[in-house]
Amino acid sequence: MAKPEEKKTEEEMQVEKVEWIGVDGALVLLYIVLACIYGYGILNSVDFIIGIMAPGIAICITVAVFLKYCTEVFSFATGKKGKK
Amino acid sequence: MTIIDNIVVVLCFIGIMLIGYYFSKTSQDMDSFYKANRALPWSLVVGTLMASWYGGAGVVGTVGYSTTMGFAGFFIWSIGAHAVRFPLALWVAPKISVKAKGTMPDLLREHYGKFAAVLGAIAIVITCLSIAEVGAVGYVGEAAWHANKFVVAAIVVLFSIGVTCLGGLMGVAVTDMIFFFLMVTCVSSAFPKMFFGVGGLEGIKAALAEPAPEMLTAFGGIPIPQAAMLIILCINLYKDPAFYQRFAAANSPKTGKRAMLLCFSIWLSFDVVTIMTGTIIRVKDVALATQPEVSYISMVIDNLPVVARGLFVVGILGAIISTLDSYYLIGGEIISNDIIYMLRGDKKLSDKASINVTRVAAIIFGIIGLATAFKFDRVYDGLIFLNSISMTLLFVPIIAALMYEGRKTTVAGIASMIVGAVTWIYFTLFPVSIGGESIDAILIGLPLSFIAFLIGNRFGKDLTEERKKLGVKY
Repeated sequence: MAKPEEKKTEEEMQVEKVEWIGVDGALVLLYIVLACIYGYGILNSVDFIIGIMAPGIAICITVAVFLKYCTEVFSFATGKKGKK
Repeated sequence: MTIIDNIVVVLCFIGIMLIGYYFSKTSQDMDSFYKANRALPWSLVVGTLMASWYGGAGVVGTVGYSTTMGFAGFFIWSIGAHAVRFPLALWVAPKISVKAKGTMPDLLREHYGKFAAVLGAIAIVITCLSIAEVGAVGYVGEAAWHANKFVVAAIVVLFSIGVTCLGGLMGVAVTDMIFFFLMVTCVSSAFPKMFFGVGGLEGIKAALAEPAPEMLTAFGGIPIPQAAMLIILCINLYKDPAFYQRFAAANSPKTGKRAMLLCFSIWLSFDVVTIMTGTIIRVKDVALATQPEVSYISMVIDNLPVVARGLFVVGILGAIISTLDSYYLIGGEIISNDIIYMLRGDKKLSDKASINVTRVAAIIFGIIGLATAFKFDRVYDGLIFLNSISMTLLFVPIIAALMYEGRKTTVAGIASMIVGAVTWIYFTLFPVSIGGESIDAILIGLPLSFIAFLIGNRFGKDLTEERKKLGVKY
């Protein structure tokens, strides 16, 4: 058999570490909260949740990610990231 | 579609080809062409993961299936699909980022030897044909321009090949980001008008209460065997070469993980939009007299203003192109760097030759995809067909290679692959039923593949020492 008892390096530990009280946990929680809200909206016929909130959230996150990318491209283009 | 919309479509596609051309100048060696120098930032990983997953089959196909699944599409397919993928984001993605020096067949070779790598490479290449995506193009073309399915599909496949051949992964990722933005914003913007146009959820429930009441319950619209198969197919992503490539190309282990975690929330919200749109289509066409995929495109186009219609079509076609060019690139990379490499007795091709082989492979994939795409009645049928074959063959050995650090032998890998594939083929040809419900072959193939892995692991050579000598991490 192999040796799973071998000590892991610091790099390996860092890679496997999940920050539950941090960004990782917040993103997991966001999914759970949204799943509960949308499920509640469908089963209880809450039109606002399904007709406005769901597409609105999809658009807002998408626009935010797109803008984040645009700012990164702009930073590279203006050479800010290349300088130390 | 007006002339202005068509001009928007043409201009957008010219822009996309220019992006591909721009990146062709920066992608001259293998690492930049296949892995974007492992420098993809978080935002670009989100865009490319989103666009690659939500291709034509993802958007148009989900709408099509939701016309019969109804609300169960959300509770089983959407919630289930993403929930079972959390371990992929939290633990597998960071490992891939550190562990993946090359391609998925590389990983198989390091853990199970050359034969397993060849088998895996062939299975992945078949998946990379992406015939379901090519099929989805036809529906968009039919609805937007009343054009011949094949002609529109041929044009889109040509664009996909162009982006793949020119820009490599960085070109693919940047165009993915643009398509992702257009697709989500346009599809979501058109939704509220359609939703409130049928009277919201109360209107939907009133319209479907008599003809299709099963669509209005959380689990009623999907037969149990189909639901089980969908949940199992959700974990198919664990062996998806496109995700594997993105995680490997991310600029840090955390980047891939957090990009995917955010994608879950976008996917979930976007699923609500597409699944509800499918339900609205059923309300408007209870008998489903028209192909739902075609109805969907027509309905969205009718509900958007000029220019936005053109951008919507670009977004949908772009989502398909994103998926096609991703898989053409991966398939070409595997043919060039794995299959040809192994056939040449482990002799590498030069960077230039490798990239050229990938380009030729992309053209061949396009031709095969066009020849086979319209053999399936629904886009999702094509998707499920291809996923099922590759999943029974690859899922167990890939997950064991990534997640299990103990003994893994060559026999275990080969046995699990062969047993999984043979079982799937046998039970697809000779299906079995329980209580009148047909059991999908994948439900039998996966457990047997796992059992074969466990038995095979008692025999054959463990390659752990060889991996250590090669400096493979973990």
